Amino acid sequence: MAALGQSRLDQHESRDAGPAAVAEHRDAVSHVLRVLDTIPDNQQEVIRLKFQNGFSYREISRVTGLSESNVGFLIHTGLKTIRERIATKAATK
Amino acid sequence: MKPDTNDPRLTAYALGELDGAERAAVESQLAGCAASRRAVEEIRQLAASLAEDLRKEPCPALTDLERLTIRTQLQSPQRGWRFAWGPMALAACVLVAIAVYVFQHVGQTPQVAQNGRPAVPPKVVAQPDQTPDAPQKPNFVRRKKAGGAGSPMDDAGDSSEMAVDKGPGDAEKTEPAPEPTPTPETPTPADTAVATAFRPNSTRVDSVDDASWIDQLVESVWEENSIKPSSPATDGEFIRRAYLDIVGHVPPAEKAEAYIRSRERDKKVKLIKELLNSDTYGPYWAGIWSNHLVGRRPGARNVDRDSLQKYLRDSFAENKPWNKLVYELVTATGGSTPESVQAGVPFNGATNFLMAHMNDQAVPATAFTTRLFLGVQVQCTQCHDHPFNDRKQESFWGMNAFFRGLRRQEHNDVNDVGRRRFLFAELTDREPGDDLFVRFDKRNGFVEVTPPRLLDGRKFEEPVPEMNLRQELGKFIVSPKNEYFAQAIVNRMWAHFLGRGIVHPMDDLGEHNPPSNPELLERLAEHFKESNYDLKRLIAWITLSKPYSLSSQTNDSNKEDDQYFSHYPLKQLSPEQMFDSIMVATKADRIGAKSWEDAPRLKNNLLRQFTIAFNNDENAEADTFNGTVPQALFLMNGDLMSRAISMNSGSYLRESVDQILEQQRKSRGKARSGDIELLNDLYLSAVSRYPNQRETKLAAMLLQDTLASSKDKDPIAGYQDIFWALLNSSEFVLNH
Repeated sequence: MAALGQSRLDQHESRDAGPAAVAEHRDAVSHVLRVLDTIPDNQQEVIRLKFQNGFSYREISRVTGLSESNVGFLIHTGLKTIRERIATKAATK
Repeated sequence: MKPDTNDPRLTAYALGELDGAERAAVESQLAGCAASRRAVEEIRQLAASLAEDLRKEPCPALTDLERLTIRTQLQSPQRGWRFAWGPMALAACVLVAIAVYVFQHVGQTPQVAQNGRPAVPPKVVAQPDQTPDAPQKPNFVRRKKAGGAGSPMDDAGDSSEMAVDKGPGDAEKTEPAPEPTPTPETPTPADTAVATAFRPNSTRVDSVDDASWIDQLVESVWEENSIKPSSPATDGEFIRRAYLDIVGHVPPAEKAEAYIRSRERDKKVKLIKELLNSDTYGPYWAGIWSNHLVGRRPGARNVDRDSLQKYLRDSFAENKPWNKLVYELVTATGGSTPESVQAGVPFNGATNFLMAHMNDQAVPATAFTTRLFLGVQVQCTQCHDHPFNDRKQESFWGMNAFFRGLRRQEHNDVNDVGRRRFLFAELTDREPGDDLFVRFDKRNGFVEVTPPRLLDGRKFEEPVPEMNLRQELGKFIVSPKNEYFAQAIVNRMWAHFLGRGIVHPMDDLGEHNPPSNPELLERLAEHFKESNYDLKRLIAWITLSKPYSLSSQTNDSNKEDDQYFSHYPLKQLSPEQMFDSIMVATKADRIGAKSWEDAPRLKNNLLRQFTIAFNNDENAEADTFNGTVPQALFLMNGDLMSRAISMNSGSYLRESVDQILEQQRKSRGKARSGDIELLNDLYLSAVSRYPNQRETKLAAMLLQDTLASSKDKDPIAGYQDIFWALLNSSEFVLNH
């Protein structure tokens, strides 16, 4: 796969939700997702691929180019951090 | 040594990613360590809530299709002859799109996708698909690789098809697919050119194809589920259901008798051919589709149901290919009634379909078109994103935009007393203006816009000269690459004959609603496409298949089965079938009874009685012949029934009984064979079988009683009772 040039990126329409959809979503965003936003981006990325799109480790590894064990490690670490942060928050309440 | 609860393998195990030795190792760790078990449980809980919350997120927008495509590519190393280039190209596009997404979202993680090339070749450490605990992926996806010749919506422009030069075995190679050319977002008419030069099909069916592949696919599912199918139906049952399902009424007594007595080995094939070639085939299917397209009571929009029905009757009679028929319905222009010809506007009965649904900004037209022809439910996304699948409000309004150019012009004349009289309506398309966009309200009060957008995501943002949006939509719908199109109709036909779709409900296809036998659905759709969308051939495959020939009586192993077609379903006759069956059973058409001269009016009355129209924005209606008290009363002593069993002169019973009496007068003293003949005839007419011994005995007793109490030795009241009882039996009102 060749490198993705800036000019091509500029031509590509963003797949992000529009402002309206974002506003609508913000009303309903859950606690877990707020915590998810606080972990490192690479962990967020694989977690989203895993749970939002339902891909397996192997599929994520193909999509991202990471090794499967790396994917497993990132997901494990990400989930662990989320669990800890949720637990801390619950404890401080 | 204390087990490590911070082991990535525990997470992988909890998420169903382990198998073989690793899985066994973790399981033995769990058996001896409560903390590990707790950790696994916590991970599973978190995974569940993450999956649930993330699914509701508006971004990133990977559609069902994109996900499916990635999977199809990744999971099926040997796709063999069924491999198509389309999905491969699309998958490559999706990979680019994901790379873009990754760029935007994790720009600061260079190891992820700085150049889209994996830093290290992926190492296979787990085979998630073979793990028993693997997260449940929809059945549809897992089985897809067996027969999936491309994804439903991969008609993404021809240029993308040329972009990939790799073969089917790609998935196991470490190099990802080369970069494809991005899918053009705004196709011109030339891009979307689909073979709209339709080929005709043979009108008559002279031979039938071998469809034993259906039996094999269905039997393998029975085996998988340890189901023993019901025994074969009797000849009487088979001819009755074939008549009801293919031409809409019970078989005439003599046809049933001949079929039951026939010893020919290919009598089934002969029967199906005869029915498909019969004159009543066209009208029956035209009736069914008129109901689907405009309903039994099309309301006050001057929709001419008769003209539509005539168009459909001709189309079904000539066995028009299904893709041609649908294309004509979606793109119809012209006058709605034959009156239009005098005004110089070509008459086209097909225009009545869209005219019936142009209210409310053509919202019903959008919903009907996608539901009937693609088996896709978009109507609930009119007001909000779909709660159970990935469809967004934009997909509804994007489809709706194709109908916004519709223009309906009424032509009236004024009669002698100055009253306006409707002549016809003309359906045309407005020239698209500069702005093709449609505005719609989000639930939160925002107003959004969308251009005409097909369900596969292609958009038409700029008006192109000479472009006709409805034709573009029509091409998309009937495109051979649009798998929903063939799947929707084969599933609908299967449901017509077997009582339930392979996908159920039959018009809600999609990944959220997996088929009960995915390979069957795919193969049927594939063969249907190869047959040039030939409905008669499709009907022959289904009606000559094993599941269609089974008894409706269940056994211990299949009494719970309602989705694998291991027994014939009990189906309520539709009001139309009921009426036509009574006409055939009473031989009204042949003895020319005076009492039936106004049959068409009676039929309409009957249909109204059993149809409830919901005046909602989807113009939906339902027939409700389901045994309510008024309906039972109608059958017991309604006008239709009292005519059916009438003793007045000219009625079927009167004529038959008079014949018997005549015979008896001639052959006084001899055995009264006429009695048993008429009794047989009544049974064959109503329930397509001979009376059994017990029934014959009871009938004889009843007839004797009647004769004894009748002054002029007229047995007609006895026959009348028997016929009434037969027409009111559940054996008559059910297709079994």
